[in-house]
Amino acid sequence: MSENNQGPVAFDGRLFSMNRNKIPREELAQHAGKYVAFSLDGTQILVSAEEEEDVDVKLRAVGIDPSRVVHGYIPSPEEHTFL
Amino acid sequence: MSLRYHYDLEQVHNPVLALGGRYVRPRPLIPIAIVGPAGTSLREALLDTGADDTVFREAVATAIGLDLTNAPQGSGSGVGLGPVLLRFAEVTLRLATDQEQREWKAWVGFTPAKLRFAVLGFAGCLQYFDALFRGGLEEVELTVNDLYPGT
Repeated sequence: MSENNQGPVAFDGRLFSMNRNKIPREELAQHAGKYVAFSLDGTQILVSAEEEEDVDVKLRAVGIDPSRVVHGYIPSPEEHTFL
Repeated sequence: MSLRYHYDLEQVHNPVLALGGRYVRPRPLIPIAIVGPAGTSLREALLDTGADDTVFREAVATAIGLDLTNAPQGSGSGVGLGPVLLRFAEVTLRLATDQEQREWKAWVGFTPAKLRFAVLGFAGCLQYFDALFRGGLEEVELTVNDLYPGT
């Protein structure tokens, strides 16, 4: 099976989660209500878009392989409680 | 050995009364890799003990090269979410930390519905793990059980 052109993606989910929680509130606010791509270590938001499908388009436009990021979503602070 | 993750701390504008006025909502969101015939995609996904199935958006199937044209179909629903189409396919799922990596084959659902988060439910994921949700520490620990089929 061909995982991708660069071999298996190595990632540390625990480190990702810890770093993701350290992203400053101001930076998260810029992407609220959008789908995002985080760096593999969770330290940065690389791109964001209103539609999930557009995230990969934006990644490729800046030369980033979409298989080398973690895709996620930043809820808007006004969104309803998640049930 | 086990896989341990901190909860995601979602920032909110208004204090959460039920959490003593905190300005965050802790959630067990963890990163998971989905491997298909043409690639891998990493997604944040919600560990949900109330979900019957493991579900991703159809965009994930496209990203990993899965053709869902003739896939077995089902439907799913959630609170505030009407019935949505699910198309099922077998993929490889991978969880990894610096301490441990687990990889297994699972049948998961793909939906065109605009989910905010992928869902790691019983079938395909939690059936294979004993999950300890430490509310006080806001972390979750997953340990493989006897049903775990992977490596």
